[in-house]
Amino acid sequence: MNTTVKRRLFVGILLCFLISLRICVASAAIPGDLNNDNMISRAELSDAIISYMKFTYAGESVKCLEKDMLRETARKHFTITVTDLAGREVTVPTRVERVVLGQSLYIQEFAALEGENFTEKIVGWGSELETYDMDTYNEYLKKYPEIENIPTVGSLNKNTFDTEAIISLNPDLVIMPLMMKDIAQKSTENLENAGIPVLFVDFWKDPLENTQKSILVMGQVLGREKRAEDISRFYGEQMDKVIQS
Amino acid sequence: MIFSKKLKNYYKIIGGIKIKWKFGKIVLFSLAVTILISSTAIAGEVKIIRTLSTTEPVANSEFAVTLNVSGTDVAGIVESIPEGFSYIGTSHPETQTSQSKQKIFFSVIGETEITYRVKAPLSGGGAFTGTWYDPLDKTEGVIANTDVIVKSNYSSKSNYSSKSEAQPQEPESKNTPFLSTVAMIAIIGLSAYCLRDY
Repeated sequence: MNTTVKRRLFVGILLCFLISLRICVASAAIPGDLNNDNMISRAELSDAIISYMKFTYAGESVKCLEKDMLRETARKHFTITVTDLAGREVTVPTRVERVVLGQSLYIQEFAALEGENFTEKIVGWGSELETYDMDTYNEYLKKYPEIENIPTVGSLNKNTFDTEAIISLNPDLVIMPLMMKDIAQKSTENLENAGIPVLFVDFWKDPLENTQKSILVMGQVLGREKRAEDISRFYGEQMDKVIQS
Repeated sequence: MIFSKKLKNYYKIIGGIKIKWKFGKIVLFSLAVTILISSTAIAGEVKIIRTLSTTEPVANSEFAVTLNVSGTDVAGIVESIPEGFSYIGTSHPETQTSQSKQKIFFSVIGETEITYRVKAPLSGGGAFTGTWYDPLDKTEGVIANTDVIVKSNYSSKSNYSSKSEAQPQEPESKNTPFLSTVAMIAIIGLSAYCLRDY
């Protein structure tokens, strides 16, 4: 028996072994999204769950998603729709776990909402914090050294914003500055076509009018409504003091 | 401390016998352990309770099985019905239900109750068993078994008035039996140690 035959025989045996093990398979960009519409319908989620139950608990030979993939499918099914600061309706998963900050300068607001473990949700961000506010970046770096490992996705200011890099990070949500809406128009379209929602907020263009609204809408999508209300109230109280003085 | 003293006195009065203070402390400790374990087991836990319209169905009759779901918005359930019993149908959405021999699969997406109907054989019995899985929290558990026994037509007629509706059974979770057992052993052990002196 020559080497080629042996190799083919080995591959064949290996394939048979894998089939006999009835390995669960992974599929699609959003797992379980059978019609590729970037949404998980009730029927798709149900199909995924029942297949998983049949495979895992009844030993049936069916294709199913792996445990983590099934979790993603379930997570993407449950969504909420909010209106962002650009007046757009944005639908996001109720459990947002992966966020790209289109502007890393939003670290302040994001950390205020998310608390101590805020870095766990940031899967990518713009390069602005390190470029334009090195002192803040270094202060955060001292306490949260893991921010050094957050992938950067370029910068809207420098026209280096990398939409493909964001898509590869598979975020649940991209938070963008309203001030950059026009510059980010093409990127926004591409992201939304890839099933990634984009939320515009504003802390700079019209801060007196939009800061509290932005905090509240971020609180909604991040599941931190109570915290957002507290921050908004505190902000309002401080602003009142400034106005009165 | 004040409460402990009161407890000690309380036992003296109602018991009419002298009980050592050590016993009071053990009782308090046991209570604390029990409350602690019970509260951690209940918090945020998925509960699925099965109720049968009867656990003594008449031969060849249909009866209903209801699953009450709480603590989760999404779950998968596998119900196994005893050999000889036949699955008839469910009011649960068709796209969220599947049957394979004696196993019935349900996906729960926001529902809190599932009812399905089963036909009893001419004789025999067995246990309804079930398993659930919560894909969001990646937790699983078992639904407490429910035993059924088929009544013959004759005995059912003669004992019709004694036919009772099945009581819902407390769910079991793979996380809690161990803790409950440890708690029980601890409580029994401590009580035994205490009572040893009497």
